[in-house]
Amino acid sequence: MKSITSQRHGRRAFLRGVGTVSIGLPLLDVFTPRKVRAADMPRCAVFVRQGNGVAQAGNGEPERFWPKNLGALTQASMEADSDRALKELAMYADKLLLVRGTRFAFGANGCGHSGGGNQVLTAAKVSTDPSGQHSLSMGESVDNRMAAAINPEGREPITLLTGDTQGYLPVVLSYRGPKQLRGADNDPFAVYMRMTGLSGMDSAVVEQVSTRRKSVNDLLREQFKQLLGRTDLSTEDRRRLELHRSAIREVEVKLSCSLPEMRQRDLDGINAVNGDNYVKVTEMHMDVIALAFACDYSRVATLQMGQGNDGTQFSIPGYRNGEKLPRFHQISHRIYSDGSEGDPIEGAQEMHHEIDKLHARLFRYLLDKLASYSLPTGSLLDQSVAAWTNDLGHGVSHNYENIPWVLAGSAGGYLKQGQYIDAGKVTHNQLFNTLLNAVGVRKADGSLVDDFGDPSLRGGQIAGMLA
Amino acid sequence: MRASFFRDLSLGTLSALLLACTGYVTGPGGDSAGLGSATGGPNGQAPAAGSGGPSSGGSGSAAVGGKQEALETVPASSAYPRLSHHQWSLAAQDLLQLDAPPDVANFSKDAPSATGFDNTAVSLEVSQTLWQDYQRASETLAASVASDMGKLTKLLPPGFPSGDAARPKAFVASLGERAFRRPLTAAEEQLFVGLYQQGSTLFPGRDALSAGAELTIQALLQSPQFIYRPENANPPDASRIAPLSDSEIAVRLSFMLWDAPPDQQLLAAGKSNALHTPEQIGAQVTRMLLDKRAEEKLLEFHRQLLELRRYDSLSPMGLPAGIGETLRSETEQFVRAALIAKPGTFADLLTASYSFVNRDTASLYGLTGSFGTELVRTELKPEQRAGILTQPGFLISHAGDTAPILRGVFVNLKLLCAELPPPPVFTPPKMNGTTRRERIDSITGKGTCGEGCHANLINPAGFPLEYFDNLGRYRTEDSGKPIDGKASYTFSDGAQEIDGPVEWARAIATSQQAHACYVRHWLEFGLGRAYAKEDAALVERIAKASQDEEKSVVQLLSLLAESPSFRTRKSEAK
Repeated sequence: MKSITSQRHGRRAFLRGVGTVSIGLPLLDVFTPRKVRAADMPRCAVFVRQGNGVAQAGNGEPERFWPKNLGALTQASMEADSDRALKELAMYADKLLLVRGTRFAFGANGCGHSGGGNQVLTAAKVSTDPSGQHSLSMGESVDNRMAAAINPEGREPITLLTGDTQGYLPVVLSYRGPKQLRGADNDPFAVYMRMTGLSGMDSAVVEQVSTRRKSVNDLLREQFKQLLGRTDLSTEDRRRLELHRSAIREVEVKLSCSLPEMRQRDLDGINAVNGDNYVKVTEMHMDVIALAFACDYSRVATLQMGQGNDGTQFSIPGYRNGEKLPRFHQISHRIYSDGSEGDPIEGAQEMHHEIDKLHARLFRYLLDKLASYSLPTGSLLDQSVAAWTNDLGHGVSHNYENIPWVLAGSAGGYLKQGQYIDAGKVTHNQLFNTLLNAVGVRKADGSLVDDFGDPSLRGGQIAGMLA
Repeated sequence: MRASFFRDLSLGTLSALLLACTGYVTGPGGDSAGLGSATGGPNGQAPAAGSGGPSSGGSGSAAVGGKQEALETVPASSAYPRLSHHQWSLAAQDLLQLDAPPDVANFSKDAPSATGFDNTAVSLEVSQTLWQDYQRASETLAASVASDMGKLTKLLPPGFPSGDAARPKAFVASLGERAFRRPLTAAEEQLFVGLYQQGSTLFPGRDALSAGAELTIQALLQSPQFIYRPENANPPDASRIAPLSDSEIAVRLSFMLWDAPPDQQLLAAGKSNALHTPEQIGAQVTRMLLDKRAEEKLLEFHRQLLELRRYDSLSPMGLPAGIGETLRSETEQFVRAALIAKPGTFADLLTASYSFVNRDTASLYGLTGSFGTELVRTELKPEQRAGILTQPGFLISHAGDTAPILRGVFVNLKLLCAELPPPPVFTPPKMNGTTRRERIDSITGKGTCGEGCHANLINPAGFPLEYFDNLGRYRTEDSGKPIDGKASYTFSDGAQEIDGPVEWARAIATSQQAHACYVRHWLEFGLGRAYAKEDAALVERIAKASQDEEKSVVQLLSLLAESPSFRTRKSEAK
């Protein structure tokens, strides 16, 4: 096998992205058009989470989210269901896998939003202590398991948030382990800069910096050896110091892997915590995630859109003259409207529906970005699975039934496409087993994963999801 | 109500929640079983006092007598608390003698903490992304200093040798001691000297001092002894309690009062073992409280406790753009005036009848007279306004149809440390009534399922403030009916009848519960850990000083620093 270096100067297989600079990938071995099957290429997963549930059937309200009929999806059929939020994804019909009929297994411990947030990516129990809005998950999240198995250089998954990192319930999704909530980054420019690092610099300079870093890292590792050799460390201190120590690494510097200059300036200039920038910031996060996949910086990402009980006030162009709506959380409860005349409950459900459509369009933006990177076998979207989900099913009741799972991409051919299925009221750990297998994670003995999440849950995959 | 709403809660849990709302609160000396998230943080360890039952006198060298102090013990805490991002920035500024603290706004965000403060150790970890941020920042800072002889000279110790042979050790020893806040060990010195000496290879063409310095600075800023403040010098006794070394006390003191590393005087006191008696510590504290950094720390505490940063994004209709920042500035200036300009008390924060007004906020206060753009200290109507609870920033950021609940919850959680179980999962019915109070009462008052929590704790904390509308303006009517600002609040030591905001502010300011809560928050923010059961006696003692002896806030900090538990640490489980 030729070395990476010589291949860089030889025939290059580029990932060409629409509207981005051509990127020379270090994964050339894997992406060159020799006899390579889609199943051998790296596969990626991104989870995008909306809060407050969706406007679907329940509590006396009609169905406004899911398509009318289970079964095959076509662009025509999705457009025909014009009163349903998912019609916004009609052009991706042949790549969608909609899964209804999954639920969270466990009750909340005092706060419905928190209990939902604890479970949405973990399928683990909710802590008894702490409780209320501080409750935590008792297990790792699916992105953590995926990243540990498939990410290059043992990188942690990318963990992003649209919104403020302070508040009542700011960060909910990603867990390293029981009660070990991972912080999320809310500034897309900072994430981008960290990711692209030294790329774009002169290779001689890069070489020098890398050598210096190695010397400094060696010194740091020696210090940690001393520290971790102490016998008086508590379990918690040892865990924390070990986490720090394992973060010290020499990172392979990618070739130019970047966003266009103008886009970089957009990212640099935006105020990432201002609620008015919700859509723009979310799109920027999505640019960064797609780039991370394309450059093989990471193969796993989560994006939490809005805080735990998202109180964003949306203004949607074309809807009610673009006026600022009441807080999303209040809308989801159908109460405390702006007090105007008329039937507030009806208005609130429609607002919720419009907000669902806005998020569908945001999900479409992500799919567009992934699809814009073409590979010999299709596109980056085909090699991935993008999942749009929610930590509640129906906002008003804060219930955990019929969690909306909107999947796109087959993860290299593993997942069924163009279908809307009913999983049959199963717990959603089974969906995670399926996705874990889809991106190539296996159990230690090489068999398919069937046991993610709390051990008390019935395991296995959801057969209807398999290609 | 349909049964499905209770799907997530068994009836047993729900009734437990309602029972828990019947006036029970945590307070000093009371049963502290309901501390919930205050114990141990996300790793779920059991409260230390519950395991193994250590002797209650285990608070190290209680040099000052008094039965009360001997009962004060300390919960388990990490031996390696990480600096918060703000502290890292100030520490880097101090180490490199920079004009301004480096910008760390882009550092990877820490997971939120149950205390609400940004420096609670259990929530502070070094993840891969944060480590990359430390690496990048260290390289940038090191390059900027080492390449500028003017900046580099500031870091050289007096009598810095001129020959290249002696320079590595002199540079490393001197800068290293300031970085680690203690002298380097021989082994550490050897490591860093070895790195310094690679300067000519790793920076070809650069002079040895500049190259060696850049490498050393990079490595020091990324070292765990810089990033954490280790408390591991002395071995613990059988009950896992160990006294801090004097150098460790110096570090705890400076980060508690300044968010910054110890200065030369403090370092020297630590090094010469002259910093372990209450008198020695007290003398340093008095000096340190006069420093500008202490002022900043006091302000930052209130910024975080009162969530002042939320004001920045306020843009209520009818008020000029940027009003949010004005409102934040008003409260900050008020805190400065009430607590710092002269040593003020917690009660002053709640009862003072002046604030800082400009032409944008004068109308909110119902003031005539000429105001400019500058905020100026102005006397307010004492029958209407008292302290922070009647300032427009607070009132506007907790406004709307449910203002009494929002304001009530804030007062309960932030000022009274009352345990409020979160609301059960259900759909509230439609509101009835004319005034806002009536409408809130219709869905949370007597006869509703919210009665337990709302009637005794939440609503009475918000109803007296109904004299203020959504813009913080005083009013005597709501929708044509006179304001009803009467309430009965159940404090930890009994119920009190209140009428209106000023009476309410005074009731809080004179309650044992509020003083204890304020002290508890200072313990958390000052020591960088969550409050736990073991802290109860200490908090009670200091709260008494605040309430009965009217000690100022800075005096409370002295009491905290001079306490026996400040000088000790209890190890977490192995």
